[in-house]
Amino acid sequence: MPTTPNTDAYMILGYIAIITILSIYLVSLLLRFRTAHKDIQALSDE
Amino acid sequence: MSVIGHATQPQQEQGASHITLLTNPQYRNVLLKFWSIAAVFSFAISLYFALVYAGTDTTMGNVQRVFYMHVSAFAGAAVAFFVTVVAGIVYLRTRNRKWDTLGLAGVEVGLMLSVITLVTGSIWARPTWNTWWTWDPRLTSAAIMALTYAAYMMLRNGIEMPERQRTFSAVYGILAFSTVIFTFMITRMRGDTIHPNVIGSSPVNAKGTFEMVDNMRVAFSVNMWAWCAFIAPVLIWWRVRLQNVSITAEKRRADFLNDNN
Repeated sequence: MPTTPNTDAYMILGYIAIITILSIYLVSLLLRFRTAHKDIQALSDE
Repeated sequence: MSVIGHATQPQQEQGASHITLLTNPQYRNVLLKFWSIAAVFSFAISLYFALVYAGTDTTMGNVQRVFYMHVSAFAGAAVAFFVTVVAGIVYLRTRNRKWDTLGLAGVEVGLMLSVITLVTGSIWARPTWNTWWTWDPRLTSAAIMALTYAAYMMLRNGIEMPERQRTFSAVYGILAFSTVIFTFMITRMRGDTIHPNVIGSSPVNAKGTFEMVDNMRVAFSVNMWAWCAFIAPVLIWWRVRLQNVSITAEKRRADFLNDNN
């Protein structure tokens, strides 16, 4: 009877990749929001 | 008797209240907040279904669990790119800038989800096909799709005249969707691809096919819902918000420069 291969490392790698890419995108959104708000604030203060 | 043609007074009032709900910024903020929370929950639930509920595939082992998010991320990308098509069509008809913003948001979110699809596909392929990448028709078309949308971002930024930039983006966004259809259809048209199909029968040469049992079907459906109905739309909405804030900042900067000249 064929045994199930141990591919756990690839599964973990796959989910790390998903969470990493999503996190990078969310952080990029957050940083761009912060920069735009800072610009608006700075221009309002001038 | 016309059912649609003439709305009665209460119906008109009811319709007007729905429009007020959608146009009122306060209600929109609440809706976005709830939708964002729902997206986080749906992602957590989809993880549970993929990693626990689905069960292990006996042929491929646990790497098969990557497939739930791999396919769903592609579906989410397709939804985002379709939003760009709709936004492009409406922009060309109305010339209203908000549709251009929506189109841009669709491309950016779709591109990010396409990268997830390509990366997870590559990770799944290593133990299943014994290679990280092969120039298989499906893989090649998926790569072309991602590159086409990456080119959208670069070309858009290269056009300086705002009106021309928006028109170009709308037309490009509509035409670029052909790569999404092509990527979906390629495994149904070419018998020599080794990429399996989830929906419908797989090609003859497909490697890594598997029969989905009931648990797997449920896990797959939950993941599809999470990525298409919550994660992709919420990210698009936030990206639209970001663009609106950036436009406000640009306007303030332009006003500031004008005042000082």
